[in-house]
Amino acid sequence: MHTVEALLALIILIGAVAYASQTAPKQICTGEERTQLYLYGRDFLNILDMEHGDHTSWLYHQINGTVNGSRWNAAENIINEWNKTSLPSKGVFCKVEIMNLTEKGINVVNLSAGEPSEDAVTISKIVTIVNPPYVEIYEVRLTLWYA
Amino acid sequence: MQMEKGQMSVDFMIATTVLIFGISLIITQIPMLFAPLLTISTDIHAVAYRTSMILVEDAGIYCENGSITSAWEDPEKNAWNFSQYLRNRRNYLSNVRRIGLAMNAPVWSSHEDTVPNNLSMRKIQALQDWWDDSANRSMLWEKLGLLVSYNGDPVNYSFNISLKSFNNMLIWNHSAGKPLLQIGHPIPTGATVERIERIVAIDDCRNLGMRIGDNECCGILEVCIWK
Repeated sequence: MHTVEALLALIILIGAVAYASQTAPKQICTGEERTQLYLYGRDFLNILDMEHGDHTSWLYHQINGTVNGSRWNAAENIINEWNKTSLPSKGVFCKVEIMNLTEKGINVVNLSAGEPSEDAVTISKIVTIVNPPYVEIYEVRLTLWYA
Repeated sequence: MQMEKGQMSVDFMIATTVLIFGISLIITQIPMLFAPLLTISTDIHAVAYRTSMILVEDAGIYCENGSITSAWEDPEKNAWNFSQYLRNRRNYLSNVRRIGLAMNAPVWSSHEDTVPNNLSMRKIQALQDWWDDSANRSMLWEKLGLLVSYNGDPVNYSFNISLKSFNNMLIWNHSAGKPLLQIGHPIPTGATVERIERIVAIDDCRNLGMRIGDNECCGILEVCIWK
């Protein structure tokens, strides 16, 4: 009889341990890692948007060339710059979206490939394109995640 | 008759199971349960973050007779280097209140005072020269914000700060025959070390680091902090 009791107890114990292991928080990305992702993204966009003497920047020209008919692909070019940092070899990947905020609603005008993970971090930068008499506002969204 | 086999009652096993459920629920529902026990680690991360912010996004403070400038590496704008200031200005080191590496904004810039993420070559060289001056090296802890006071007790954080290229090699100052920036003590093994990496551009340089966007020399400023 005690064998049946032992088996019953074993099943209950295994069930409890299995439940505990499944309900434990599956923290893929720690707070420190998310902070580091945020800093990578902000630093990278700051460097791309470093101001020239004429108040434009590399990022400004990329977006202007993409949206004003120069057949540029700003999102792809930004990804190419990101690949130069060698951070992809450390498992840090990024996706770029460029949105037009001046039309009705938010309109994605250019984006790169990539599927961010659930704990990805998004950093954005506003770029104002001045083509008198028009002023267009674009948002560059950089989404970073650890593979 | 004496029993030779041990047995556990079902009651006891059910009680144990309820206990395991209870403990697992507490641990999963209160993620910060053990945070008070991790004060050293969380504190070090905040200090590493703060140090990286000061170095990358601030130009520093030099204060003399109530006059304040962020050009701590050359407050009189006479193109002296660190050694010349040390030799010719008696209070130079004490007048430096905070060390930052971001370059001062040009007059045409829309930035007010500093250009974040764009490090000044002269500030980098001045910081490296300060570290190399062993007689005055100890003052660096205070200037970098790494000598603080908690409840009246001084706390001294150890650090290792370096400029690296994206392939994780130190950026080399070929004319001086030494790393462009490598200050602090060797990183210990086995201790809790918090590391923050910042992507930076270096102003006024050639053949250093990688070109990103329109910036000729880019790399990583690595800040490591431990107690």
